[in-house]
Amino acid sequence: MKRLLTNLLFVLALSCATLSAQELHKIIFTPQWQTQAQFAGYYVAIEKGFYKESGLDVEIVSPGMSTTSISRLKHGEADVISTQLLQAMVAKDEGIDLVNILQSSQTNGLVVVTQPGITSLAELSGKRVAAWTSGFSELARCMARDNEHNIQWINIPSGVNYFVSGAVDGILTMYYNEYFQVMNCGRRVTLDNTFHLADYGYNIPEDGLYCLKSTYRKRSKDMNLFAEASRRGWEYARAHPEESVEIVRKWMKKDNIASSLSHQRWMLEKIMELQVNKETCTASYTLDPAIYKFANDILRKNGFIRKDIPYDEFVAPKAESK
Amino acid sequence: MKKFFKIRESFAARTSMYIIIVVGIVFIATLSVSFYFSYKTVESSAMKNAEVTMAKTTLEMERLLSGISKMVDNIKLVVEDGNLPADTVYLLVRQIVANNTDIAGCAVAFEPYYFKDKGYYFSPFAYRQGDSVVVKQLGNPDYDYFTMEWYQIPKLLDKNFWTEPYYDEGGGESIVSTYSTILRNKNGEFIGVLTADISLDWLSTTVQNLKPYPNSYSFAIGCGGTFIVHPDKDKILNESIFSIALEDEDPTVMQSLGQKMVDGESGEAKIVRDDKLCYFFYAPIEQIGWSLAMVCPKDDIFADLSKMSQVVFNVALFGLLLILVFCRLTMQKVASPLKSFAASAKKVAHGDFNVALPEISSKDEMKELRDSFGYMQKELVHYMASLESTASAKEKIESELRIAHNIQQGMIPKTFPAFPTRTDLDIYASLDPAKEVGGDLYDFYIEGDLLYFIIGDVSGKGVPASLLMAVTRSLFRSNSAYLKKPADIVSSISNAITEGNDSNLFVTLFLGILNLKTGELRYCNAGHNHPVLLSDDTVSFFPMKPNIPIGLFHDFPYEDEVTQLANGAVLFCYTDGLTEAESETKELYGDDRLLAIMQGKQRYSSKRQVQVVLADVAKHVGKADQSDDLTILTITSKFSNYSEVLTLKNEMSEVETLKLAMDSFFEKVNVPPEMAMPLQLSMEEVIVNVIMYAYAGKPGTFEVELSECASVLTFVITDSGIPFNPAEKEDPDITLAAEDRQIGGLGVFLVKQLMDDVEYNRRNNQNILTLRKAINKK
Amino acid sequence: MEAKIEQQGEKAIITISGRLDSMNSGDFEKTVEPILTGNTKDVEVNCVNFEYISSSGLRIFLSILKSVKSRGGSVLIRDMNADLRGIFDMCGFSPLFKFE
Repeated sequence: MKRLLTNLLFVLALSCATLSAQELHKIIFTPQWQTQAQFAGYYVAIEKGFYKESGLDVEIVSPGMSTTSISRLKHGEADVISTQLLQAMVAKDEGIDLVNILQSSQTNGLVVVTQPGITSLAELSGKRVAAWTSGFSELARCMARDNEHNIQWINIPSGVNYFVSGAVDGILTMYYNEYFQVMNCGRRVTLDNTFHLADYGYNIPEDGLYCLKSTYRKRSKDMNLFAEASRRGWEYARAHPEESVEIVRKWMKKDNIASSLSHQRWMLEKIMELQVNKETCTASYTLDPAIYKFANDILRKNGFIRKDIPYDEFVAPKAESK
Repeated sequence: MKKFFKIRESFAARTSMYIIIVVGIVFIATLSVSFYFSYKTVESSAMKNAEVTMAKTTLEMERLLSGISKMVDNIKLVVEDGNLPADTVYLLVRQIVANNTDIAGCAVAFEPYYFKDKGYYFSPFAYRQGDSVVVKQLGNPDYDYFTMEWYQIPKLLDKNFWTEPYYDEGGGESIVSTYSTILRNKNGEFIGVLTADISLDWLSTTVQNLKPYPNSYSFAIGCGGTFIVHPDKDKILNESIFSIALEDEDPTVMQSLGQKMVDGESGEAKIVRDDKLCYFFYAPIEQIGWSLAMVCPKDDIFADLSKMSQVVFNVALFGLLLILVFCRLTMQKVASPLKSFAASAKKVAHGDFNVALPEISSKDEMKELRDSFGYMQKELVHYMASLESTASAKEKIESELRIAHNIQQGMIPKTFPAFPTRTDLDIYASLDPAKEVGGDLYDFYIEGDLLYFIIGDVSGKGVPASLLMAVTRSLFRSNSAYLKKPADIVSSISNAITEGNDSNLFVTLFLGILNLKTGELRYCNAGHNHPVLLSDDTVSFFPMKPNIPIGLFHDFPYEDEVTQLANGAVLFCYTDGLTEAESETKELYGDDRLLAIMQGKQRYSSKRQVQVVLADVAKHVGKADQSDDLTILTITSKFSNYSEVLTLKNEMSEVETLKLAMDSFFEKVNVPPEMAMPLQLSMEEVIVNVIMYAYAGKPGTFEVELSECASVLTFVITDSGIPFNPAEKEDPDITLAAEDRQIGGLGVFLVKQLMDDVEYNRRNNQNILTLRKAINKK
Repeated sequence: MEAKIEQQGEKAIITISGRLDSMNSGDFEKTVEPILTGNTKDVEVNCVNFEYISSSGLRIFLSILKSVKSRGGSVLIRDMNADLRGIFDMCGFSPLFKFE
């Protein structure tokens, strides 16, 4: 009898514990690419327990080769995703009702890198520039069009071998990613061969956190907590870059992704740079309305979106900048 | 052991140390040079080896790759044939894979709608799977081959193209590279590519086995620097030589090497990896643009050399030690006799001449040293013995000389007064030889009323002169006994000496015979210097013939001379040691000074005369050495004299007695009255002293002699009381004021002032005070 | 030797004649004792007939001089003959006495 009682008590206690454990709200987060330092803040936040402290149980699920983060959000496979502003606005325009809960990127990161000898975008007229087929090269094409650079865009899947082999005169890169590879492939590229789209009137911010408006309505507290903790993660990464790179690489290894230390370092460094507003010199993690309007106008002008998207419809209330 | 390390003090230790230092330097130099050359040899051979090894690999790779590309180039002709049916392509690719084990996969990809019925994508692809070959279609919406590197890059470049290695989709572990050859139609337009995939396993394995040294490793990079073969799997296709460089402290090292490799250069460099210095060899795989590198830690390359050097160094060190020990021991052995030589030398210095010397068995310089040392010992003994005999001989001679001196002194009359009882003669002499024995002589004796005297000077000094002096003196004595004329005596002495005078010594001589009763002097001079004559208070040189010294010529005709001396005349004879006495400045005393000092000395006693002159000579000579024998013989002839002797008691009443005696004496000798008082006063003072003090209160007597000769009064007071020399008494200070004047002491002072000469002698326990005064007779 | 003293208050006149020698110096000393012990200041010595003096006499003269001098007086010597004067000179006495 005594034995039964103690067993009962034990089971009760356990379930209580489990129950209390279940007080952690689950969030599935999908970044737009596979594990890398581009998303350091989130891995750091998990590793450092920032989410747990906010009562969140976060699981990061990468999109894989066949899907995008937006598609996962659309299909409810992810609660929160990371994607670029342009993609998000296009998706919103297409009917996916998402809201921005955190704007990590404040600066556009696209860079056109040319072969040695080409020191201006004008010289790219009639020349081949490689760009990846998987999205966000649109901005570059817009810019080229606007500036009447008659660029012959060559679609490529990935990598820098087109550039290395000399098959193209230029290549579109992400400052924090492919740029590193292009600068370190022995082609004697210098800063004279680099052209930041941000300098050519296309400074549209990139990465940010989004969730469905419906999700936000239901779990605004969680969403805000997630955004807050994520921001904490980013801030920690800023203060402890080496440790953060280690954390990211550890997660990459878990996902069987080979990583280059110097590449990840570079990536984190540049992501941090791009998170800082060039004029205010601060990382606000919020989407500035003026910048938003600017992005909205360009996208409208270039036909990426059919109609204007008001700021307050795009950005979640708590995530608005005051 | 401590002795072993006393380097400073040990000849063996010092020498060994020097030897060690020199040998050490030679070792170091030799070893350094040989090490340097070995090093260079090892280095160059390592480099050669690396070069060769890598060349082998790159060559093979190149062969393989060119073989493939050539083959594929050949096959494309078939495919380019416009009449080729589409499905044949499947067979073709299958065949190619089947027939070529090197080819892992083969594909033909066509431009869109090349085969219109085949649609947008048409790219038959065959690949090996196990033992069989599988064929499939590559192209589909998910695999848009038109953008693939193996398709688009050769199209853009318009050249056949080897892709950068990549992971094989199927395997994951396997790295492949694809060769694409451009397919053209009849018009030369691009219609597609024919590809062959080859596995780089072979490259991987070969490169990874490039391990000429245990800790060396190799890697290969692609056209962009990406690692395509690397011992660290994680780096393959993930890192490049440039991204790795960024992790270094100084990225530029690997960056520049990477650039060189990517540029297709070959060469070697020295880099630092994991804090170790390594050699870095690199060579390109031509045509394809990949590159191979080998990293060899320096330690590995030079491991053998290091080991060898270590061994050689240890051996050298050990050898050095051996040399040190050997040197030390040998030196010590050789030098140990030196130590005992040193000890023996010390003993010899202390007087032990017969100390034993160490035995030396060798026939070298040590033996020589020992022999010389032994010889020195013997000679020292002899020398010491001869020194001793010389010293004792010297002592003997010296003592004999002393005896000779005594004998010589014994030969001349030394007792003065010579004739105390005689009143007609006052004679005094002094002989001071320059050495222990001398060549000067004087002699005198009285026979009856005649005083025989000589003074002489043998040429030279010392023993030879003294011998002749002795002979001369004896001859004087013996010959004057029977020869009565001075010339005869002189001649006889001369002849005797001249015979057998091989040394040609001679003697100057002045010989005289004085009649004490009459004052007649007979004399003969033989080359001697003229005496000084004091007569009637005048001073002059005694006239005489010079003649020649005796001993030179046989039968020289010496002649007598005669003169009458005045009463009280003084014949002051001397040798040239007096007049030729040298001062410190080599000045001679001289005749003039002699004459000067003799002024007024006639009234002095003979003894006082000699004292005064000797004092003056001494003053002149100062500290200079005595150059010659100095002899004086002074004779006062008092043939006519008057004297009285009184014996008085020591009572004051005797003063009156003396006064009366003196009064009558003055009368007799015609003393001027004015001279009486001082004379009386003097005498009173003297005898009062005697009366009051001489006998210390006890009764006693004393004698007073009053005498006169040639206007010189001589008073002699003789008492047997306690010794008292008034001449010694200090004069009172007569300049003091009355209050300060002493009451006593004036008596003796007055005597000294009033009398011409005060002479004190002590003889036979008697005080003999002689007062003399010259008077001018009335 | 004859010696007489005439005392005139603080002055004394000694007349000495003949010989003053060791024998009679004792008497002379006695004679002049009053001068030595008294308070005579000035002494005059008449030496017109003074013939002879020896050291004992000189001693007494010195004593007289000393004692008189201590009282602030002096000794005057009259008519001393040349010989005696010579003796006085010889002993350095002359500067100590007055002479007439």
